[in-house]
Amino acid sequence: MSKTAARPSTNITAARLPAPRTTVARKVGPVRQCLAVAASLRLTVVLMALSIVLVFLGTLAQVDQGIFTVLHRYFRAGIAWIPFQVFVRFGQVFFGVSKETEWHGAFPFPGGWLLGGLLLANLLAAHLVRFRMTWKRSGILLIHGGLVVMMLGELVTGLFAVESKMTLAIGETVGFVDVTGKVELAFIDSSDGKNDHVTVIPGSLLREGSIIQNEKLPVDVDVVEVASNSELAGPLTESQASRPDVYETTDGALYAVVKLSEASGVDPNQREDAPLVRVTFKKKGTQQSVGSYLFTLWFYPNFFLRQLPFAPQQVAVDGKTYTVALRPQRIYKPYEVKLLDFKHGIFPGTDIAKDYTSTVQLTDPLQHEDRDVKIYMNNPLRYAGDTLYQSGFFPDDGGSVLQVVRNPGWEMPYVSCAMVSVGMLIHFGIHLLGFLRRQVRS
Amino acid sequence: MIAWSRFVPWIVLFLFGAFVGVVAAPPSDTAKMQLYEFGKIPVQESGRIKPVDTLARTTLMVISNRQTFKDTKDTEQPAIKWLLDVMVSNLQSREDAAINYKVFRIENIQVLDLLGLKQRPGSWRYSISEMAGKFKEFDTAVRQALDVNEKKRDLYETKLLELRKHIDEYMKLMERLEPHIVPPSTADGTWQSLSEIDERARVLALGRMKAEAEKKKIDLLKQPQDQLLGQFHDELQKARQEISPEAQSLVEILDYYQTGKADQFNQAVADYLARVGENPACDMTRTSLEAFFNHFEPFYWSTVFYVMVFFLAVVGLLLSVGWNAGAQPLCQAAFWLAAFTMVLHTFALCTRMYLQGRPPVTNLYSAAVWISWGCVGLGLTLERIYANGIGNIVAAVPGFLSMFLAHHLAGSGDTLQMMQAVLDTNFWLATHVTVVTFGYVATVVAGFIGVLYVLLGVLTPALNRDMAKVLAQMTYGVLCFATLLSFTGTVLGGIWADQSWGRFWGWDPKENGALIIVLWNALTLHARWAGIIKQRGMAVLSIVGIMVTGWSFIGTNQLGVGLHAYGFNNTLAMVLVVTWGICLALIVLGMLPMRWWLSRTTLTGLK
Repeated sequence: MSKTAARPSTNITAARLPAPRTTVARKVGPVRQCLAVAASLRLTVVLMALSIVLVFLGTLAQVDQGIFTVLHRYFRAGIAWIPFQVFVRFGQVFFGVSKETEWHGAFPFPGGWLLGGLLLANLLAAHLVRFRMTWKRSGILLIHGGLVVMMLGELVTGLFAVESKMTLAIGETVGFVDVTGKVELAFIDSSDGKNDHVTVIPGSLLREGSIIQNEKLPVDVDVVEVASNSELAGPLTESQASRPDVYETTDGALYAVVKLSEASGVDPNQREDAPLVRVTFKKKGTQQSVGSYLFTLWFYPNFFLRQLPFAPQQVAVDGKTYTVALRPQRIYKPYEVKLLDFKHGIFPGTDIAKDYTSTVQLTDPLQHEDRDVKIYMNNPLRYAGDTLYQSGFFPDDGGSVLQVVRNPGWEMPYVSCAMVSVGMLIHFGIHLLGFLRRQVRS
Repeated sequence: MIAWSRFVPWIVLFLFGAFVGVVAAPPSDTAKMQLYEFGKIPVQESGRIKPVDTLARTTLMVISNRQTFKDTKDTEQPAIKWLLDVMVSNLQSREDAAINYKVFRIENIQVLDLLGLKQRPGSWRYSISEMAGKFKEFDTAVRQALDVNEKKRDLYETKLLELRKHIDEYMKLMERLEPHIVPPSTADGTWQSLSEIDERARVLALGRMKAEAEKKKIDLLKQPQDQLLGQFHDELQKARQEISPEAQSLVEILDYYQTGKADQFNQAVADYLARVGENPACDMTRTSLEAFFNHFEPFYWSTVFYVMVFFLAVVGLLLSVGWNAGAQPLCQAAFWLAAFTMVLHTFALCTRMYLQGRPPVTNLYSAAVWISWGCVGLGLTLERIYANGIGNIVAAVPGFLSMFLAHHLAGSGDTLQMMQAVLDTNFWLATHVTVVTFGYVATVVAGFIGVLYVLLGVLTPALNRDMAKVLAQMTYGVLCFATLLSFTGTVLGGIWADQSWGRFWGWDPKENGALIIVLWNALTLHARWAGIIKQRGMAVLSIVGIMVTGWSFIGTNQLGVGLHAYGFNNTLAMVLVVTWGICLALIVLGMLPMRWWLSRTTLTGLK
């Protein structure tokens, strides 16, 4: 039986090769020739290799940088500048390279947008050149179609998805969300008595050394210092209270604000970064200082799940008092959510969480929506284009944090997964059947 | 072929079957204390009900890095005996056996110096009584280490605190603060330790004695001490019985053990087990099964058998002349033994699933066990299709290596531990995790066939064109399978993430690792279709696939751990680096010019 297997049978790999390139080149003009190059499988292989390297480097980079930073510098970038230090990190983790070693400098590498775009172009060109609608190729078509959907899905997500959080104490009703990874400096004028008038400076404008002037702002803002992360040290003892940047909570405990480097993407215990900004407010159009302030997300009650109450920071200008706060970018929603109850179960004898469930009341007066919903792990609430997931809870179980995601492309990976899986089953199935038939025959 | 050789597979199967029967049978020597029966007693720890045998094994594993220990006569004894001896010992009496058991594994020279202990290479195990003289110095050093920020501790400080934790564990057992062995009377009640019960019983007993004395107008302090103690002992027993009859029985069992009354011990244990069998808080079916599972160690025996399969398969291949190895009796024996072992392996996996009430993959350990199972399944399938003896080796080697890795991943502690709520969805565990690990399996198996191609070609003259073609076909087929599974599994993971927190793909290290595997498999296939690589290129690229899988499976985790762990002191990172080294060597070997290959004459014309 094994003897016959030696008979030169149809070469399974040759069958799948494109028509020899020379025949294409002989018959057609330069446009088609370029298309043939763009469509070549060799290009595919090179692009895939580059993608693998990029993903690998983007993983190593997370030793030093947060996941969002890496996302924007590597995967959602045209060109990624890769610091040599990532190789040192690799050596430190696996090959015992000294912890002090540092390599400076960086080199350019094609980023995610570029590679993704080129792969997409290569794929489309390949199908343009070699399109044939046969049973044998239907699997390939489905697979590649699915991949196109997936890449477009990632594009839509990268461009339009918004991740945010809604923090609710039991009994509280909230109609806005805190966007993850984006901050704003808000000036709140409550003098009207009925409504708050809020003016915000987006976080992207808060750059060290810049001066922000705008007619809607009550003051000119001179940005002295910006840090991407900070922590609270404390509670401090009396003797430590002379440290710089010490703030008192409303319960009288003292904490110092300390600059910190960005949380690493590979840290198993990472928390969200708490940016910090130090500013000097000046009377509009003058150099006259109204006061220097340090703002950090730690002062924003939702950030630390209402654990440390700091009094709001206030600025008085021209007889008016404004409350100023650094807070996550806030988006108001057409609906409101009230947390009716929160339950948190643990496995007996441990502190491992078993389940957590938020019971909320969803109201949307415009849509005449008013219902009670249970939100728990893997059972989100989808409403008005948003999806609300159970995400966290207060340490005393007195409240809950919901992750609110708005992603117009969320269904695309589902479609893609189905297309590619079915495609692979068809494609490999056809070949497996053919192969088994040959085995049986021989 | 000699006629009787047809029976070789059956003889091998029979021998191994009989062997399994022997190791599986629970020990039943009525003259001695039946520690195995005692081991079935349920306790509650880390959020689940388990037999006390599991607790003894995992605790000893943490302290000693082994599941057995050597008693003072240097005889190997089971963990449950250690637990019992600890529970009936105390630090004051020097004669107690437990404090002289050398079970604490201390490898750090500085810690040993601090405790005034000599280095004991090979064993590195020490007893409480050996350390007792230096407890004061130890305490001071521990306090200093605790003052250092967790992330800044050096190796010595980390190891010191580790030892302290181990000693704490030991003390808790000795003082009976653990385990939580006294069951509640209702299904959702709280489990208590013997010490907690005794605390309450003591208060109750003392109160009663005082009340009694007041009634009879006796001054307790003037009573003879013996009489007083005897009275207290009786009152304590009564009080304990009232609070929890189970606790009273357990104390009696321990007393029988301490005084060496084997018959009473066995009877008391049997009575106790019958009693808790009706308790709604205990699930005796599961607990007994788990005790049996611990005793039987089917995963361990599967690992051993895969080694046997490998030897049978290799000898069979060597003895087979030409290319008809599939029919060689030893190869057939290897095939059937592998199939038999896989049944054992499957039984073990199913038991695990039943005990935990979860799909097979819940942590790295179980993933490795699952990968091993997949490798064997894939190897046996290939052997069924090609019948060339190679499939057996494909089953045995990765199957064994992965089990071996699992054994190390189990490290210390309970491999059946409870899972965070984030993972609390059997549906996604069952689909994403199992599929994606099978994707890893196929990638590794394809790489392993590549390894065979290179080794046979370069180091032996045996690789001819037919065989090369068959190996290449096998690699190709398995790679297609790998691409399908790793892609589907990865995307299912994304869907799970989308269901849980609304982010289909987050570019985190673990996700990136999975993506690299998918991309690598796709790259290999496209390179083959493009004609950039032929047989040999595919073999070499598939070996890179092993490196890539190692990176995804182990490496990505190490990035986070490696930074905060103490330097280059990590077994898993070592395993990975060694694997990479071997793979690289094989890749270099595979890329040697054809004229240096020993199979060059039989392979002429191939690139």
